[in-house]
Amino acid sequence: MPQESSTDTQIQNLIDVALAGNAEAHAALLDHASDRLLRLTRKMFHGYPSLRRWEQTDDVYQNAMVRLHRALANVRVESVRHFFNLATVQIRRELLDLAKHYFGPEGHGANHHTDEIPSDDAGGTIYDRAGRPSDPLGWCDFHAAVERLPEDEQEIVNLLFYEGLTHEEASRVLDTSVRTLKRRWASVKVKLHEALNLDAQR
Amino acid sequence: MRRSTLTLKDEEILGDLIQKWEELREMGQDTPASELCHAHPHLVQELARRINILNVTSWLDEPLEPVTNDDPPVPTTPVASRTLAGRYRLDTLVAEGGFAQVWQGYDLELQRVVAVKVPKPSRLLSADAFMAEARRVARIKHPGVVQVFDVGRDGEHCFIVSEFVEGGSLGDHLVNNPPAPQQTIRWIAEIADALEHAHLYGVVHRDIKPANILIDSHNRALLGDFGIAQSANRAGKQALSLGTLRYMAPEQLEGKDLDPRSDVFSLGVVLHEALTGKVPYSSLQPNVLRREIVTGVKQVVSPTMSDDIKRICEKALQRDPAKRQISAAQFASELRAALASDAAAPASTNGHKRWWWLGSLVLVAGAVAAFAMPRAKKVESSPPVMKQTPGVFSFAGNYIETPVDRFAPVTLEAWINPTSLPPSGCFVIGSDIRGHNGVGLCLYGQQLAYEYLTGFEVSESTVPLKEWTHVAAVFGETETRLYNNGKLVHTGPPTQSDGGTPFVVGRIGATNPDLVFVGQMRCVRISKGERYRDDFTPADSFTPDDSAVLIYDGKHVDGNRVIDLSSGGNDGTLR
Repeated sequence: MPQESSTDTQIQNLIDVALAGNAEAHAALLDHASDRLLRLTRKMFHGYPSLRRWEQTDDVYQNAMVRLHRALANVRVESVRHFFNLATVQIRRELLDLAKHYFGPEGHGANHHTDEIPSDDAGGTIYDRAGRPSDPLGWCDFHAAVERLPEDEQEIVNLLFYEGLTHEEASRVLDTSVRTLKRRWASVKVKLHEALNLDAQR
Repeated sequence: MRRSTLTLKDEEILGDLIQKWEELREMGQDTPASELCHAHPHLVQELARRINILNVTSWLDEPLEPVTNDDPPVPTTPVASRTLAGRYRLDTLVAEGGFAQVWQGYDLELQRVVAVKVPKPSRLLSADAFMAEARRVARIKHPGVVQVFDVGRDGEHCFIVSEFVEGGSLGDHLVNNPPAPQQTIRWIAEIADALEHAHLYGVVHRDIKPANILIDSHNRALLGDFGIAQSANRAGKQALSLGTLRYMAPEQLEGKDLDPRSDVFSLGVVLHEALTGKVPYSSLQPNVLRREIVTGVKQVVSPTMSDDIKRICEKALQRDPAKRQISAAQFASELRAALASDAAAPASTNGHKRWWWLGSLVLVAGAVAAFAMPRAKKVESSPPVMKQTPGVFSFAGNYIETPVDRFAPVTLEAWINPTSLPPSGCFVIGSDIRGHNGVGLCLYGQQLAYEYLTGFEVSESTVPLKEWTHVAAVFGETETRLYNNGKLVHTGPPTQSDGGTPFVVGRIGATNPDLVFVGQMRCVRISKGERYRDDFTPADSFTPDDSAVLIYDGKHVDGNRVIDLSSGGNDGTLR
């Protein structure tokens, strides 16, 4: 795949042009962030048709976009790594707010029937909290657990999960080898699993 | 063996083993931990645990679905009770959006038909905040605002009860029965009047669109649905962005503070849509649409609009709020001036005025538009300048700046012939500084009125359209008196004066371009002290005397200089 078509290279090009004062490039960076926010929002509600009605893309999405725009509009982004860090922090904050608002104990989704029964991958009776979130609080727990990771580990989740970069792209952003990145990613997933299940036992 | 008992060397080995397991998995081989751990049997259990975790968390590596528009339709949230709070019976669902349902209902207590808006509980972040806002908006009373009768709660549902307006929305009219362009512009000017009134109360509507402009059975335009409005000083801080995206101002999409000019932008979008059949920014992709609006990169104003209206629309749609009309009142004034200008324009060769073909353009194909375009050429240049009909001053957004700082006691008088009297008012002579009151002679709708340093007084005496009328305000030591054609019609509080800004003729103040007078003035006089105490017969023209400090009439103008006919030497400047 040519380097020019990779996400990190595109973003770097946009940053370069935006730094030169091009408003369209800045808007395109925001578009990228908003697209990720939209996709992640939909992923969050995947499997919950009865809940999705609250999260259609008009008002709530626009509300999140306004805050995202406000947070990113006046920041001078210096590098791809800087941009992804800023954007993912805002995106995660929005997702966490949405999950808390609609799925929390006082949220409107809390008392609704959901369409997916939680199950353990091994068929056991113990629900693994690190599986794809399948109850109203699962997404809150997941986003909050990521927030609590050390910064360097959080950055890996940001790039691979929230930004959806490939291993090759993320390794370039972090200036490390693909092999090292994969190793760290596996380690982060294990830590996330442990953190989520520890929370569940409390 | 648990993580806490592992050595650094063990962690290193486990990392290598997991990497190997992942590489094999990528090749389609699901290798068990025992097979990978031949050389490190003490790590088998831990490796198996970690492999299990990586299987459980594999969803983190799944790509996200691209955004599509295949969402299922939003189901209706039923209203729990068909009679809310034991008083408002819900009869017919007349509209439903993402935020609320609107019902035609019946007030069982007062026995009248009402409209009941019921926001969907899931869309309200705070019912209390919504109720507080609704109560505040309910205090806005204006002929151009749909009157709110009541707000209340029934279980989880909040509701707003308002006047039921029959006749449909502007949106309905545009689709089913497109009005003549002049009519559309009058309606939009009326809505701008209503907005100006709301803005004076510190309320920014935030959701101006054709669906929220209602046309009643008397052909009046009314502004409804202030349900999501927030006070200007709070707007944008924590508000939901519930307005329809394509009518939103850039600053609204950017989460910046909103002010009345944000509503002016939205009304500019409505004006564009109403006259050309399309909104300036029309992408169906929210991201693209948002970007178009925020960056303002597209050519936004249709070339099929008349030059006057195009200029007004372009100004309203400026990305920078500072470049838009400064207020809804100014937007209304400019629209009315354009209408008046059109009415005064000579008929075209086929006997129809410019609006006729403009109306046709809304309805017919582009080929006809190309034919009609050359006839769109505007008679006047823009921005509006004073057109000198011999012997009179003509005003259409322009004004005369005098060198006389406001003072009191003073008598202000003029012969006026208004061609438009907006409900929000206009000034014959003003001296207002934005944010503060001034000393001025004005009209509130058709009612003669005056402004003084601490308030407004409105008489019950009206001034007719398109007739010459002498109007005067005597700001005396102990009272202020208003005269209509020499008859004392109102007495009110006196004013103090602090100088600091000059009197201007034709609008509210030198630095404040609002509330402009549209029409003609024959002559104007400012005099020291109280020229009139009882009824009098106004002279057809003003002559100098000891008390006159300034006399202007339309017969004595030299270029932009208005010659003072008193002995005061206070020549004015046409602006």
